[in-house]
Amino acid sequence: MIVEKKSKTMKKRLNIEEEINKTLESVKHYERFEGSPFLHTRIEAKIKSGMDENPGFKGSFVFRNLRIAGFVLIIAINIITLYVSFESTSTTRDSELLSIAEEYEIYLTETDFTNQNEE
Amino acid sequence: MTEQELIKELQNGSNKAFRDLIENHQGNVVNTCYGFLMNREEAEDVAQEVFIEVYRSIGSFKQDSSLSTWLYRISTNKSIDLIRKRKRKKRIQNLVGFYDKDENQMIDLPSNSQDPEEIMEQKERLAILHQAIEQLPSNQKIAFTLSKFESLSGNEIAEIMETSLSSVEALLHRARKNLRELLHNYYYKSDV
Repeated sequence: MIVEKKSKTMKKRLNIEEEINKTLESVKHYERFEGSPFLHTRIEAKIKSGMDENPGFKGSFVFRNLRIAGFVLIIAINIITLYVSFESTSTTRDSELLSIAEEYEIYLTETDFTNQNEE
Repeated sequence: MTEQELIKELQNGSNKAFRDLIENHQGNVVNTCYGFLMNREEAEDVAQEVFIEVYRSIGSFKQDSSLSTWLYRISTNKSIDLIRKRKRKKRIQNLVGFYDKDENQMIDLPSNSQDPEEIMEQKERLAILHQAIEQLPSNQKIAFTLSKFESLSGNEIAEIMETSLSSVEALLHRARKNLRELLHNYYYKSDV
């Protein structure tokens, strides 16, 4: 039984060695691939299209700075808009409060305005 | 036209010189890329990139090596870059779960055999060998591929890799040893 098992393992090892050798030798059957005869036409077309696109401008220093400046400008406009809208909201609230107070003949102090704004 | 004259013409922007360069070196460049990538389309795409890079940077070519060595160097670097990109893509696809695990995929390998069965067997063996080569460290992969698929001498490989002949020989020895181990594991698992 043990002898049979050992001979099986031996056989498997030999088979593996044979397969490894055959696989390593398969390089001998490799045939060179040298590409299409029109490769130079494609390369020239690629170079030409690359020049037409003028990638120089997109990657240029001026273009990069313009992009950053545009981004900063958009953020600045957003901050200003938020600030202005907040200011106008608080002014509207103050005037509404005053008109209600007048209607009911209530006299408001400065702390009332402050408390209202804090709320 | 001597190599010096060709380089001078290329640096002057001569289209004819550029065409001559492609005609003279296309075979070696494409076959080198193909040896690494084992895919015809990708090999041709990388070869195009190699020549475009030469066209763009010929002005800064210092001539401390021959033109063909420089071309081999660019071809090798670009092919290795693509292999890295492929691996990254595979890892991402594996993470997302879209990757179809086709480990024994048939590569479009040319073969000089006539018998269809033999062609099939050789294709399979070359595909298995290529999978094992892909697992080698970069330096071993470069030395082995240039030696076996481009049939370059140890000295030529040393010049391309900017190293000594003894280092190349050591790399080739380690590559063969590692390949035997990788193939042993492969055949052991596949229960030959």
